[in-house]
Amino acid sequence: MITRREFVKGAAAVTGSLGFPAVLRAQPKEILVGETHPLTGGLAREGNLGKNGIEFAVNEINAGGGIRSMGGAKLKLMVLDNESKPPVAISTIEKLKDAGAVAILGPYASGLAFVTTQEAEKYKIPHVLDVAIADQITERGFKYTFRACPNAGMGATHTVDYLGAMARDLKLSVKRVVLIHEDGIFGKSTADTLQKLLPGIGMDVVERIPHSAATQSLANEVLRIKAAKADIVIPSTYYGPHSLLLRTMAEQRVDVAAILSVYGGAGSQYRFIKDVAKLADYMMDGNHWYNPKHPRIKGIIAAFEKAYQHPFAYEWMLAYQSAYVLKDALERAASTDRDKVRDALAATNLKDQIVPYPIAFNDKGQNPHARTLLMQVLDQKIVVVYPNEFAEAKPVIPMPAWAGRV
Amino acid sequence: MSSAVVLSSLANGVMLGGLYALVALGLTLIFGVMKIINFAHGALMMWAMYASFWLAKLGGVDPYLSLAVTLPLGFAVGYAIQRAVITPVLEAPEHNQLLMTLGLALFLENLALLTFKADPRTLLVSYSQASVSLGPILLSLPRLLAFAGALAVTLLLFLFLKFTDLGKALRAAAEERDGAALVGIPVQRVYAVAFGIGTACVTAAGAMAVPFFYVSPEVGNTLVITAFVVVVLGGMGSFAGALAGGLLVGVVESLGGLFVHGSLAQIGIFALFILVLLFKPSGLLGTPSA
Repeated sequence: MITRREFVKGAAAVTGSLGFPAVLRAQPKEILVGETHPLTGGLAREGNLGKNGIEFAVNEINAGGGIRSMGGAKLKLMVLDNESKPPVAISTIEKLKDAGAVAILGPYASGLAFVTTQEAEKYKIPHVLDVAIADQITERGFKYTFRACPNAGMGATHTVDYLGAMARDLKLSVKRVVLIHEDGIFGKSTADTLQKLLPGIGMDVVERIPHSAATQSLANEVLRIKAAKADIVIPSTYYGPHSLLLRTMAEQRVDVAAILSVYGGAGSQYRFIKDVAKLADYMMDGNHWYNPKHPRIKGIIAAFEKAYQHPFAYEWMLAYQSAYVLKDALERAASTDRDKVRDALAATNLKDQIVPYPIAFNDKGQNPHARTLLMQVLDQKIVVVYPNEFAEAKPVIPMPAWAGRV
Repeated sequence: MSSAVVLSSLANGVMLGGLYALVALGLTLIFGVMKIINFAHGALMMWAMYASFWLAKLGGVDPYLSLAVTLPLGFAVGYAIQRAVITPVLEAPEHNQLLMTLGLALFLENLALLTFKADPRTLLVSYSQASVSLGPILLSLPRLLAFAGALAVTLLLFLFLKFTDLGKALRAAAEERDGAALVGIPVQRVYAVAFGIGTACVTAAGAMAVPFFYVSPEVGNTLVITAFVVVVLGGMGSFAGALAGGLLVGVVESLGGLFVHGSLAQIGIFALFILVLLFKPSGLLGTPSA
């Protein structure tokens, strides 16, 4: 017996052979793209931003004609929630494999990416990361993992470079640096890198203060910053303690030339400005950001804000960018074969993106051109202050004393 | 290390200790009266913090003023929880009671995660960054207020237990349940009142913490683990013990943090905790039989 589907298939083949290829091209197929993000659990906020970023990009891509080299095939997303848990993240990759996803996007956090990249490698599915900055993720010789954004070590290096250039350009007499970091792997490894690099730009780490990520008070730590007579305080910690640090410094009127974080939890976050208003002013942060000189960036941000009622956040931007990296590879691969897509990804050479760097991958899958920028909150806006080619404003350093503004 | 730094740290410890004491007070009351260890205490505090936070954010109500709404509400919630959830397991083995309050805590936390998302939020009120100078040290006004508030609530509660009929009934039910029932005290209702007051205590602590702390679905855990230490340290069920224990823990933690860093800062508290358990297992001010 012939089922309806078989009949249609047969009919299409017959029509095709009869010389109406146009009919076939007019009915583009769909390309299944997998996505794993923490939509619930502790990382739900970031995961949902990532999901929105990818959805936004895919809508743009589909509205713009899909993948041209495949007859305008549309991207179809299969979004799975990994609940912020690595074991669940593993099972999402298995499901996406079984569903036939051509590639996988996500999963925001390093702890999740360690396992999702491993699974994707096992099943030979290309995996384009959105954030997940731990250096080691791309140090395991994987062939199917690609990361377009800067990793943790690159971020620390760039921020120190900017600080050095800024001190030189503005002839600042800043020397004494206090590092304050949460004592988990993120804070500790960042502080280790900073301690190694800072002497290279003529700065001394006079004090290094670890704190627990779950701390209820940073009063002591701030007293020690005060006692150390710090010129620059460099926090590398999560949102809660970062916010607590700023507020305690203001409360104790501890004045320094700059509070400059590396991938700061509350740095370059509009929600922090919303939370603490003018206290956030003058705070600096080396982090992922968009290219403010890109002609399309204002329009994209405005459209996203309108669609999702959310101010700009780099979490969605990097997810958005990752979808475009995949789109470009699909376009060049002209195939949904995973290995062909992987090869196309490896040959990526994208310029003129909304991120402030070109995208290409080294043999580890990391984009060596990626970089962070240095931002400062000025007048309740996050603006790029370094490097000069992207700067929107001059950095205000030393920052005004707390006494005059709180 | 300069003396100003040590003094500041000491003052911070005392102020934080006041808040610990208030959180511990609610726990110790519930334990003293019903012999129930309430794991949901932190989750209830977190909900109270969100209540004050949103009242301030949406209604512009100061967290201290919001107590006019949240305190009765906290009491009512505690009363209802006792009636609906705790009473049925009062006669059950202890581990069932533990599991019940733990389950309640997980439920409340996940409900908060669903409702408010995982985002930590901070609330700034006009006096959030204000400080009072006292000799060489600067005291943060919101922390000072929280300390004063905690002391005031403790005093009120003490007077209530000592001099009112309901307070006496509470103490009677705590001491000898069957005896209290025999002389006509409605023990079940008194229990519900105790749970209500315990919840109201933690509601007050939550509201007072909001101006200088942050709010997130997990925020209760961090404070309540310390409160458990305070309760055991001071003596389970002892009021004065909760106060003394709270202040002691605050000071030890704060001064300890000056010399030992990061997550290790709490080592002092737990060392103290183990010492007390070894040499005075009933707690600093607890009665040996309890």
